[in-house]
Amino acid sequence: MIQRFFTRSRLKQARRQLAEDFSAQNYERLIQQLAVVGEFDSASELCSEGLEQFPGNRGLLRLDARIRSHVREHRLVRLRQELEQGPRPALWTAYCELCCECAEWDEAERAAQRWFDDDGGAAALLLVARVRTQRFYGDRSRRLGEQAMLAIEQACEASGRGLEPLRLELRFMLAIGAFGRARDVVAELLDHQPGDAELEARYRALEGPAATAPEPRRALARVEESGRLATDRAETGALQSEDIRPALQRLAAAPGCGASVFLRGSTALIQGPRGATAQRTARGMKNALKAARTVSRRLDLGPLRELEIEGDFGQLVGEVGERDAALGWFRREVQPAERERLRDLSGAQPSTDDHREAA
Amino acid sequence: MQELEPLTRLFGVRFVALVTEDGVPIPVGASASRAGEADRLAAVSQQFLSELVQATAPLTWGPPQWARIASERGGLALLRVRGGALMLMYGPECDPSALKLPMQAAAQRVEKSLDRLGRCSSVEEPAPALPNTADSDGSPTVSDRVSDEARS
Repeated sequence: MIQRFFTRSRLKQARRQLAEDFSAQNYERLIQQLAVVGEFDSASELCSEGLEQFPGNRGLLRLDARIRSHVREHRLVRLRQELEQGPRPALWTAYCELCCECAEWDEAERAAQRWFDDDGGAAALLLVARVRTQRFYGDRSRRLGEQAMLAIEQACEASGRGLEPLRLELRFMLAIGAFGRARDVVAELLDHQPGDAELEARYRALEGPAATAPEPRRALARVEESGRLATDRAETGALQSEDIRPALQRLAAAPGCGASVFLRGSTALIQGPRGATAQRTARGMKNALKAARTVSRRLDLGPLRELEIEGDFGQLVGEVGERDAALGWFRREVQPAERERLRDLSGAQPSTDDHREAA
Repeated sequence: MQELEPLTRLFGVRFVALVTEDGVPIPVGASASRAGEADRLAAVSQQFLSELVQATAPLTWGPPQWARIASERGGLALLRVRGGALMLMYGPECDPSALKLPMQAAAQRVEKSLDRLGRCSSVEEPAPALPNTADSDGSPTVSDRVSDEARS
């Protein structure tokens, strides 16, 4: 009782403070108090409001991520209970989608498989295929890609090559860059929906890339090697080397910086060393990144985000993001601002850690 | 391996082991029960270190002393120690920048205890063999005395 009284009082005080002084710190204080009393919906709304006022504030971003994860966990528990009491298709789908959001792939697959065991219908198989596809998009390993392809094939067969599994197959083939197979799937979809203008346009658009595109298994191997989907490449295709070079030059010009490299697929842009040394440095850094990607996949840790190596040579730091990877070799300890620059270059999410904020 | 126990108590740390150069793991704490997994993790981490050496050797860089990766669902940190590497796996909730110092401290503790063990073993070294020739002053040696007693 006394505890509750003090908590309410602190909540009131936090509200008053925010009304008096409109700052990110006061937003954080009020959000924390709301979380303490269990008002997660209000806390989440306040996070959004705070981020609108102070976009990119790390404290608010961190709180927002934590509250979202807490809300998801609560929802998962509730869905699990509802499934035990009375399972139905919508619940299975919602549960699996939420598991995928939380990256709980094993649990999502188990649930989809349980539904298939209970029901044996095509919808359950389609859900299994969706979960495996999502898992592959997150992980990008060839093994998971082949599992996803197999699940899609089974879902297609179970539904008599229905629309939904075919659409899933089309998205998958486009994502891995197997445009030849994607064109065949579009042709099948056109049989279902003859005269569909969008599908016809897509068929025509795929004719060119299909001629040189690899077959699905080879495309999966390419995705595993580069860690990037064909759709990632398309999204970032507009980015020109002219945008990257000045940022790389600024990094390389800093005292103690040996080289700065931007990698995308098999292409590398390097600033710092020249001639054969530049080539050798870029190759060495690329191989280090490849080794890190491999170990991340083998340990089932998902896509690589950061790499840090230290030795008598100094420090090699790499950041992997939407655009691909940016690496820097420093003969001294790397500064937080330089890390941020590498993160910007690679298109990675900004860090929300407290220690980095403090630094 | 009580020297490594504090590492297992760090927030977000899932697995700690000392891995010898040939990939044999010595897991610590609760992670010690996952023996099969420990073998796999140790092999993968040692391979990672050797791949890094191969990647950076053409740049005339020495072998890396510290390596860390962070991925979507966690990460791996490796610190080279005498005769192997200290391996630590962490979850996404962990602050990876706070791992290096405790790992270096743990590595120093391990090296100190190895040194202590080395000193203990040098005390227990067998004494040198007894001389079998007569001393310079002509007094009989131990082996001569033993053979005289046996004859009598």
